[in-house]
Amino acid sequence: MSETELLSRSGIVRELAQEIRSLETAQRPQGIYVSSGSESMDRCLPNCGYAAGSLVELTCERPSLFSGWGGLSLALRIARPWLDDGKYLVIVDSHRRLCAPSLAALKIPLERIIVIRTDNASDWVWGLDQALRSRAVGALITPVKDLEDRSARRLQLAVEQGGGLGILLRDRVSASRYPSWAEVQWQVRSAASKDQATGPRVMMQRWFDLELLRAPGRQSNRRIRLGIDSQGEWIGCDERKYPQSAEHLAAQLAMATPRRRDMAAG
Amino acid sequence: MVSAANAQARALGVLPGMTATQAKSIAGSLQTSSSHPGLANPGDWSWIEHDTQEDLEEIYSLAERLMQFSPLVGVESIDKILWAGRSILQPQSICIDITGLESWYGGEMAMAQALQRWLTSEGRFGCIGIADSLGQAWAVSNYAFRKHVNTWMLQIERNESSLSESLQQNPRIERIASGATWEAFRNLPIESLRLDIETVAKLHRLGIRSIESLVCLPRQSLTSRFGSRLLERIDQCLNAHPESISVRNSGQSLEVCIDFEHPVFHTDELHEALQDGIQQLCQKLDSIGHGAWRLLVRLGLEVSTMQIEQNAPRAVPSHVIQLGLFQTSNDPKHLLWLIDGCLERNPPHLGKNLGIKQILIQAPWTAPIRWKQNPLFDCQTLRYRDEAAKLIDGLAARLGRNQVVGLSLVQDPIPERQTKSKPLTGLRNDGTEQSTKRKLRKAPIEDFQKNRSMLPGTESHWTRPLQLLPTPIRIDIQLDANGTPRRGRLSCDPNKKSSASKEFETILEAIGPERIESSWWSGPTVRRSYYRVALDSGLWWWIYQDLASLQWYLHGMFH
Repeated sequence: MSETELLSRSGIVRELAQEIRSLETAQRPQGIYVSSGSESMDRCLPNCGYAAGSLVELTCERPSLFSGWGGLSLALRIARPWLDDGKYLVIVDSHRRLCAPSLAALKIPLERIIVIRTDNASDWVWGLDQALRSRAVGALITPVKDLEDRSARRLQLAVEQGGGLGILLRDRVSASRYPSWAEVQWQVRSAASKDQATGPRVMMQRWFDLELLRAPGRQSNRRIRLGIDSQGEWIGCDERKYPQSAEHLAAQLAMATPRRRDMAAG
Repeated sequence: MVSAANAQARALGVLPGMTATQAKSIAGSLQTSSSHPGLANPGDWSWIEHDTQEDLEEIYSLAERLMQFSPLVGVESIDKILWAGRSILQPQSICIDITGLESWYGGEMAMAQALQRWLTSEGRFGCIGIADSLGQAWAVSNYAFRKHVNTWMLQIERNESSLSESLQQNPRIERIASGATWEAFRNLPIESLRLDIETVAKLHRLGIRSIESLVCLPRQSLTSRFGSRLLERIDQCLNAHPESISVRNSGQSLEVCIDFEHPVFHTDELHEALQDGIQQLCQKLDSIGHGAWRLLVRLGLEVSTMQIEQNAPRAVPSHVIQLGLFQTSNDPKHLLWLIDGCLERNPPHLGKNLGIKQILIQAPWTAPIRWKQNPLFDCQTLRYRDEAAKLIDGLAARLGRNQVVGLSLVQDPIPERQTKSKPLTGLRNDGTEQSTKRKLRKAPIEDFQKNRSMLPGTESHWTRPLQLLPTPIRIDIQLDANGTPRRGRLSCDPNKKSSASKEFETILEAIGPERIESSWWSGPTVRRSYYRVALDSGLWWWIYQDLASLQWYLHGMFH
């Protein structure tokens, strides 16, 4: 096969992927992007912000419930701008662990928090679906253990209808086992803070290493270091690496076979 | 004040009605002494804050379900002052007017037995009294079995007998024959007259403990010595003076009743009928400018004739749906959606043998629909309130009232008590009526930025973790020469359900100690030294040392 044929074929595939993407996001509020508040994070995102009506995944390496990897703090900080116009924040807290003083310190209005507790997976998916579908919900944060393909797609459709932001906290094992319908996927690692802050500022700010695993039209494996200070504000930035590009999920599905072949080839 | 105590606590001497200080001294002595036979470990006891709203919700919910036995069901009206013999100022009894209904069941005793069986099937332990007046029935139901109730309940709590076995052994039904004189109540204590603590104490000082002794006193002197309330209570109980029941289903409640000529066996037909009923109810509500705070749907079930031929009972308990709303609504689509959610979660299991004969839809509590005025200044809290109300109502209808909650701060030094979560739907502020007027007058809650609390942890994000463990986990900590934590590990990894084999993790930084001590009036003393620690793996923990046992615990994660 000549090089021209290969190029035209890849061009067709790219066009098709683009069409699938536009079809897939047709239900979503168009052109609404909300800045995370952090320049370095925004630079990694399409249109410098999170798209209204999309899902975001924060994954961690450690699956332990007792690890304290910082994902919830990051999620709350990302969610905060979505509450600015009076919308509500929904948090799934089935284990009854949330601590209100700390939420208040993050400047999250407590009167606009709805906490959902669920006992089983079907109620959990139903609750998420309803919350994401509501126009009153600016952001939703939930831990995810197992999320099968159909439920994930259901959540994606719900968030597109509601126009808010769904933030899923999951461990890497779960994220790799099940397909994701999230628009943006970060891997989060809590960084040791000793090299970042010394003296009286110790443990008044916390640092995270974030690796961008997926964002439409952006480079994946992009790494940044971000911190959150005692007032819940972003601090500092440090971009590290700009390797290969990533496509939207629809585009990935469209080009799934060549990708798998590439991966198999090493 | 101790509101309730389980079998173990009662066995140790902690009793309802006891002040927290007394209970604290008992608990404190247990903590310091060697292990008590009632407790596996000295620290195996805990205090749970009494949730008044939850109690009210339960008793009102039970009263609404009891309306299948009589249309006139109410919760006892309490006084402003606590009655002697009671530990909390809340309604605890349900009053049912059964006048003329007993013949349906084959007599008063048969009706009481049916009621008792239903209570047992609901998992409730009840005592029933039947008498001519409310005061008499109250006295016998509350005090006829008083001496034995504790023993019977202890047996059930200790699994020595089940609820149904206990009922078979002791039916707990006391019937006072019509026209009975005071002699039928002679052995009851004076507390059974619903008297306040002060009056009862005065009478006790005079050596008057039973009704028999009380009626011997000259009636004329009672008012001057004890006030007019005592005579009123005596008349209500001993002379059967009439007393009204504040019924749930009063003339003010709006309702729609649909009777079917033939029972409905299919869900589709039920849905259509409900749609019509809700539409009619909403029109009624709309005509007076009200919305429903609370909705009650009663599906009157009936067994088909096939079953009757097989000598099965024809009447079965009705299926009841109870809904509390986040804000008043008269939107038929919304209300129908909520009812559908409830039916999906708890279906009536219709079939060829079980059908619906009647649908009763009631709005026991209504209030004016909140009118909206365009705000002069932008009010963020109210902008999406209507949308949020629909979401909250829907979630609560399907998931359950207690599964959809809001958070608030509580001024308390103990971290686990600083967060209060309360259901967002169906709240009542007292035992009699929903204080809608006050709610309507209430200004919207300001955003947090304008009204910051002075609670520790609210000033800086990293001084308190975002998540607290419901039960702190024991950890092993190695200290340096200054007594500061330097290395730590979980004593037992709860994820793996095995003993610790994990190696110690180095603690890079430890900020503390932050000493936290409970107030003397709020239960047993809690004294802890908290540290915020950063592990070399980048994780942050909130740990404390219990100053009584010197054991270290992981209390929360900076998630």
